[in-house]
Amino acid sequence: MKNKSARKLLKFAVSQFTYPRDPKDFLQVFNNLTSARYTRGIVSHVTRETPDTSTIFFKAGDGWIPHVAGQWARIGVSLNGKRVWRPFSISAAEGHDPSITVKANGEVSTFLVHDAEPGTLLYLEEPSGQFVLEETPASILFIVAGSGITPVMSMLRTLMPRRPDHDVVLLYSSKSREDCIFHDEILELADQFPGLKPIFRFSREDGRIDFSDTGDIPRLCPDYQDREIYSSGPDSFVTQVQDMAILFGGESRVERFDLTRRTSASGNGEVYFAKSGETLEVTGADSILEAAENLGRQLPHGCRIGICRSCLVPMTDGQVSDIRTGEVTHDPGLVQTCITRPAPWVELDV
Amino acid sequence: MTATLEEQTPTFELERSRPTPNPLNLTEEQLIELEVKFDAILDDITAKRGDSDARYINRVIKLQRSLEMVGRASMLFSKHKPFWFLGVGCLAGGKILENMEIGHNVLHGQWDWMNDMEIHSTTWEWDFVAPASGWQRTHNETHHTWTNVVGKDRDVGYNVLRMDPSQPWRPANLLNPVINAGLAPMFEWGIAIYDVEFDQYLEGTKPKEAMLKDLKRVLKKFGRQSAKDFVLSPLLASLTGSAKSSIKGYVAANVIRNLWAHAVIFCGHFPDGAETFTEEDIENESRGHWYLRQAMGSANIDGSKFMHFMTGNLSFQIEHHLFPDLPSNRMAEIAPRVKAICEEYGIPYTSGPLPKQVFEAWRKVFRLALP
Repeated sequence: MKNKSARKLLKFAVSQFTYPRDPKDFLQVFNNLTSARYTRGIVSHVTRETPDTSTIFFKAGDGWIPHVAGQWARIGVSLNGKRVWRPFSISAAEGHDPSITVKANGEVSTFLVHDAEPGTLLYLEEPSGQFVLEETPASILFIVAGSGITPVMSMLRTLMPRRPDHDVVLLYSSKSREDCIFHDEILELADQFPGLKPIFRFSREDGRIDFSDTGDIPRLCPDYQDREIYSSGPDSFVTQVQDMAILFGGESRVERFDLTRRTSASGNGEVYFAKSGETLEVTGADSILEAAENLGRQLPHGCRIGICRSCLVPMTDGQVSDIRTGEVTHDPGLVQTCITRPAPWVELDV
Repeated sequence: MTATLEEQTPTFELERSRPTPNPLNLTEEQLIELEVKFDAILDDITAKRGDSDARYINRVIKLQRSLEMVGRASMLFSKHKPFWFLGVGCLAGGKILENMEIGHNVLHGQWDWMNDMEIHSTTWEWDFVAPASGWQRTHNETHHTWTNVVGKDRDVGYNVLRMDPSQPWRPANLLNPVINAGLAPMFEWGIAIYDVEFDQYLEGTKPKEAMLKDLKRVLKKFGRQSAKDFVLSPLLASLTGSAKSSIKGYVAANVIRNLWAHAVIFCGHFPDGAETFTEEDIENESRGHWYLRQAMGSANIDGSKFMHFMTGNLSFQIEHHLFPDLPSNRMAEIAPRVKAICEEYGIPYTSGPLPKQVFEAWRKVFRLALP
């Protein structure tokens, strides 16, 4: 306590000399991790996992809160001079230096996979997300696909050393052996901790997982109905897991990695921004958020797939449709710009 | 054709006293061409700006903060002459960079495209008595929109000087040179007071509460700025017996910054050749016409790369006024293109070396002291 108030006093004293700047603005000259406005991170090393996937390890500066296994964080990078933010799942075990495992499929992820190197600056928001382990997990069935392994890897790395006798089945689908992220490490973990039973599935050879009640699941994991089910992967994949769980009256925890758009929810529309007086054309299947970003305008956002609700803005007139369901909303109130489009006209108070 | 030309070619005197809306007689089509050509430069640079620009501003900021730290540290030992000179040099240079190449340009939003809240017009506060928000209002909104429109652009004389023949002469204008000589070394305080818009409150166009709020903000910043440079820093320097010399040093650094900023800013619109306009001139003004007014109303300073850097690239005043939110490091690159367009359409491109431009601005101050 004493230490804290002494620090505060020192900061107050120093800031009299640095006014109108924060003392940290000057410390930044000596230490890139320091910032008066952001939590910064610096890439310490990068490991290539598959041809299009890398794990980026970083050292986090002041303000970083240690993550809970399974969580994600919004991370900003400078893309050709411009700060862009995207959410990424953390793959490191709890209590370890953070790392994210990224598959190249957009601008930001491609930059991280191919161009991040030791010393690259990152901007960090605190970890969040509800896809986390129960306090006292019973036996678990993880059903994951593709880069959906990332948060689950953090869970396995955290869970297994804590209770080596833990009963965990991992059903992990990827396109091919080559695309299978963490393949060898998972085998090593299973060697070390016999409670972990990994089942790899390569969809190019074995086809997609059949989730029907006479399909793959009962065959691969007969006691699946007695397990806690965690599923992570593309929207269409985890939705099947959820449906399966509902069918037998069980529950599932899921993490989605993308957004399934309905083709019917496309076409041209217009957004009027009441505060700036600008009108924005929304074309194709873009969300309001994407259309604004394409024109270099910034709107608040988080997960970008309709989960976290960081993108809520007030709708004052008109109506929007949900790009996942096609559902139309016209009651004035808050709308999620990352999953809505004008139908065909909307006024937002931003 | 001949008849129209004769009709529209006014005598020199007439043109000086009352500029016509379109002194060059550019046709509507030509104005549209002008708009297209200037817009093309804007689009080109907007598309090009990227990593190298971001690295540039970050490097300048790092340099400025290093200069400031060396300056402040030197002042602690300023009873020794070499430290005094080093300190004053670094502090003056640091303040000039902070106010001009960094502050002025960041507050214009030239770096907002980076989406970096550490270098952003909405979060920046500068080492200058005038609070950023008030200055953004009088400078970005009023001066850059109504550039050189007498009666609208209050930067034409800053309410205290008579800087255009069309401003009515009052006996107080006899003091023009005295006021300007006093303003130069105290420039930051002059701008701070100007931004309160006290005159508009007296006229009844600015509510009392708004004026008082601005005044309070200025006084608060004035207090903190002065405490930093003239009280607390000398107090710290007193530990080495350098209190007195450091007060002198901080005053010197502030005055050098003020003299330089005043000189550069007066070169922007007051040298010969920079035109003023009337409110009728800008009725129904098109974008092409707006570009024309910005180019005709501004004046550049010729000089070395270092000189341009130290003016915050305000030496490219014409380019800055045409494209106020393009990053300053791109001004040198677009200047030849702007000049070529101006030549093509016969638009005067006013430019001259620093001593000449300063002289002309001062000559105007003296000349307009008299009716």
